[in-house]
Amino acid sequence: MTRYVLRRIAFGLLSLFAVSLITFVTTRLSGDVTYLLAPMDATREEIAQVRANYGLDKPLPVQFATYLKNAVQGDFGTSIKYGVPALDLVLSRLPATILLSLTGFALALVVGVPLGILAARRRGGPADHFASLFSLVGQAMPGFWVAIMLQLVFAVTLRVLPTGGAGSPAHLILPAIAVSWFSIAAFMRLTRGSMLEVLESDYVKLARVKGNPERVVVLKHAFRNALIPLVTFAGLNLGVLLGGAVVIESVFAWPGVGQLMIASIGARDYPIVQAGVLVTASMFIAVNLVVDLLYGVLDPRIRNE
Amino acid sequence: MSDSVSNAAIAPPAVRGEVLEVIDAPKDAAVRVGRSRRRKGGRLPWLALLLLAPIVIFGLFGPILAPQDPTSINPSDALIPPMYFGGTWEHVLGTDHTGRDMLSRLIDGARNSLMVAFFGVALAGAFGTAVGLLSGYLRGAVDEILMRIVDMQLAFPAILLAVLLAAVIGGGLMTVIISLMITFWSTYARVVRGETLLQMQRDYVALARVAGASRWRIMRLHVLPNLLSVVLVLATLQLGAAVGFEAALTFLGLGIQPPASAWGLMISDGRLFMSQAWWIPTVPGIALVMTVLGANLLGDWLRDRFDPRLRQL
Repeated sequence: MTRYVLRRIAFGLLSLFAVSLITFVTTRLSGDVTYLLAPMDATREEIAQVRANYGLDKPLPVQFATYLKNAVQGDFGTSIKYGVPALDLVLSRLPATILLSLTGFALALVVGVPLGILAARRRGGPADHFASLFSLVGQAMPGFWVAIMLQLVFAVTLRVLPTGGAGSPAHLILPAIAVSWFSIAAFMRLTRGSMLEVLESDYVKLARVKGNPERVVVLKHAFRNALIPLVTFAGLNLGVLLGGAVVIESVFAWPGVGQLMIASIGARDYPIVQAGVLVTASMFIAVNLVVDLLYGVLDPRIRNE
Repeated sequence: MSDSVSNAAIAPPAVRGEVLEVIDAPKDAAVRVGRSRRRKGGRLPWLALLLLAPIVIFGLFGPILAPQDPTSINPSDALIPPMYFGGTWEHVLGTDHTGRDMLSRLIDGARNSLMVAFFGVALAGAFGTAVGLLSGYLRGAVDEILMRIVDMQLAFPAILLAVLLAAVIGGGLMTVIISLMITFWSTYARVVRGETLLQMQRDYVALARVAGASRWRIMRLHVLPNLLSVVLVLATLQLGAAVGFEAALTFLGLGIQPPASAWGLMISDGRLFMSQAWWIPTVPGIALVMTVLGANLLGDWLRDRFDPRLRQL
């Protein structure tokens, strides 16, 4: 187990390194990065100053080493627009993003899984057909468009929920539905498939033959075993939600990291974008690490691999 | 089916030993085709084709079909609703806030969407297939390193890469295509690697090796053609995702830029006029859903028909 944990942690660190490398290389694609970091109306002296400050006059490997050193120390430069350290600004927006992603995740589980169980139990019935149609069409609807349609119906036409912003639980409802939309459909389809497979198995038949009530058979015997593929998917799905949140936040002016990053691209505030990407990617890697470690606990076969 | 054609056509008949491959490959392919015919019959995925037909026809023949100039602004015709909602035949799907014809914009935007999705998926497919083939064929250290890179790639969400690229090189067609390529290749690499490992156990590879074919030759002429059906299925399944991804980026202002037409742009324009004109964000969204749904259904159908092994995807 110790070896497994160490290997996963090492891989997580390696991924972090790779993400920083990708970020670094991408920055250099544009040619001279000085112009991304300096204000647009900077004088020649100011540009030279920026270049010296960031060590941009040194060879690339040295620059990368400096960049890594600064990143480890939490120094991603200063926001051009707000004049405060980029990391501080990004971290101040992080709780909102985490709140939105986790609410969306909870919603996807609470809605998607029971619907999937229902569809599997009533196989071929109207509920099942509706569930299949919803998961098929639901997964084809882009999240940002779902977000706008929700705004159109509930905020603009019915006027029951706010169009955007944050501050009250009501502000969270539409963004959370939009963020979880795809995942609800996906969880439903997966739960249905997994349940159907398990319901056919011998031990479920035995549980029925023994005279257990249907509710016990479905929830205790079948569902527990149908959970295994769901856990795998849930782990992967958290990342999908995090990526989706970046887009949805912009639609609802939700004050999270994603909205900050998109707004900063327009304002040419490069340090913010870079800090935002690295922080979000780090969270993603951390989530994956936790999921991997959980598998190790749940399934002994994996940790001895 | 195409396996037998390509293998038989490529192998020069006179070379000793290569005869073996010619015998081996068509038989192998024939068994596969026979099996899939029996499983699914000859039914075509009509719903998928019906959903995809408009975008494909619009994409290919857009300029001829568009009833009006998609960029011509006409303030006196602004915000006309679609037909049956108070509109007229002149603007079947209504007009936007500047009086541009929605149908013409939709048709014009289809070409941009199709092009970006197609190139993004094709480039990702070519690169990912090459990596997967090398990894599965060579195994050992190369395999280990390449697959770790794939794992890492999967830890970097596509949208973040696009955001980063847009911040550095600006938004545009290229930003979307590059982001698609860099994020989508890893799925191909993983699937193709698995498929290559399976193909390597088949007799035709052993026979080709016995016949003295080089590793490069076996990879290129024998294994690769047998991977194409998997790659094609995967590409179709990813096409829908690619169209959605492009629309999302364009909507955020990181993808296709105005004054070009794109569905994502129409939706973001429409947001500001939602209270007066529900159809501006709704109509292009429906086109988007039709396209993604059509591509997904077609991909599912191809997968069931040609490669049931991919079912977990």
